[in-house]
Amino acid sequence: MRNDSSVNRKCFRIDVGFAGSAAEKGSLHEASTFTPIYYLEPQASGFVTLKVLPASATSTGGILFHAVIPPVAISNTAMLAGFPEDLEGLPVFYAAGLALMRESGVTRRVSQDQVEAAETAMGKYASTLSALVIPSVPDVQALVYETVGDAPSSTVTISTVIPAFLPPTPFTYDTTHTADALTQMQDMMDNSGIGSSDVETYIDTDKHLTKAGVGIQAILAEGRRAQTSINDELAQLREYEAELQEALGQFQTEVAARNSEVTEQVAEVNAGVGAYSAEERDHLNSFNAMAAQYQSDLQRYAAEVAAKVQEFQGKLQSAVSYLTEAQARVGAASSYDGKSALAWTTGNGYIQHFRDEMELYRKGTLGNGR
Amino acid sequence: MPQSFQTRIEDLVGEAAAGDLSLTTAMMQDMFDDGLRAVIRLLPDDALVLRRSRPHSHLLMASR
Repeated sequence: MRNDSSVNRKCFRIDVGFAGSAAEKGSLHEASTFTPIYYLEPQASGFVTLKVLPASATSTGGILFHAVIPPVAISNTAMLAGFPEDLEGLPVFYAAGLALMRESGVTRRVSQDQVEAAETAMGKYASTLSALVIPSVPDVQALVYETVGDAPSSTVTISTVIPAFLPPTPFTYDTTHTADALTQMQDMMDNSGIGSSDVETYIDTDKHLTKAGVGIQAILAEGRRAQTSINDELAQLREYEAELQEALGQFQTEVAARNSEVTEQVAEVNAGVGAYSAEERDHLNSFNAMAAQYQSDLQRYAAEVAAKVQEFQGKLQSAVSYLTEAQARVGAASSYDGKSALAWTTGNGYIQHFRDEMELYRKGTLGNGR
Repeated sequence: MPQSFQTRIEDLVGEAAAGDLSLTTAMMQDMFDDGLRAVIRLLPDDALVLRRSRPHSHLLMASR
């Protein structure tokens, strides 16, 4: 409206491009106080200025009528007075349509969150499930036991002959002659060995020195005979003693020889068996060490494999959990997508209903004018 | 007993205010205001005139 100090006159809108001609004096298009115009002029600030022509001599301002819609609280049960009754339900449909479109957006966002979470879970799944790498089988030596080789003779026989002691011919003791001579000497001295008398009687009783002398000579003779017999016996005895000593010497020599021979053979057997045993023991120790090493390698490898498998099982469980989570997330996303689509369709239907009703009202087929 | 606009909106949406979707009463109010503006914007000019001519009309007010 333009007020010319007394009357408000309606302004007609022109394009801003014609503002010049509308303000031009004498122009066919010049705006007059009876045919005022207005146009919208964009400003450098981005705002648009509403300008009215002809400009008032007292004021450059126009009169702008605009609708002020009183607030209608949704807690109310009735629309504000003057609102077309046929259209009272449409703001409700409009609001419900917007609400459902919002719901569609919210659920779509939730669905996207679920999809992103599923992608995250799948990413973790992909990074978790690496290939199972089993440690390479260690190199091990064959367990072969080899004997030393030629073992000592299985049978060693050592002669166990005991040397026989061969004594000389036994010595026969003969004291007959000596005993007889001594008896004769004793008898002739004092036991009537000379006839019926004896030397002691000749000297003490008979005082017959000649007879005593003869008797003594006879005693001496018997003494010499006894001496001869003893010497002979002694010689034989010494001879026997020598023979016996010789026999003993021979026996002892044989015993020593046998003893030395046995000692030598036993030492030889001991040396052979000892050397063989020592070498065999070395082989056995080496074999045992190899067997222990093999068992150690076997146990260590088994432990490494078990550890790897256990580690991989843990990854498998994690992978399963990630897959399960992704599965659940995708399911939830699908559910939310369905809800979102349904909400959108329903909300769009409400908005479309709003438009249809408004169109019918504008065409006057919806009780327009009541 | 007529229902409030909020109840009618909630019935159409199938969701009460402050429900799972955190649709608040303030949001409903804003949406309802948008609907109200849309109706008025789309009304024919003569409808505005007619409404304004009614004795109890409070819909349209002039200001300068």
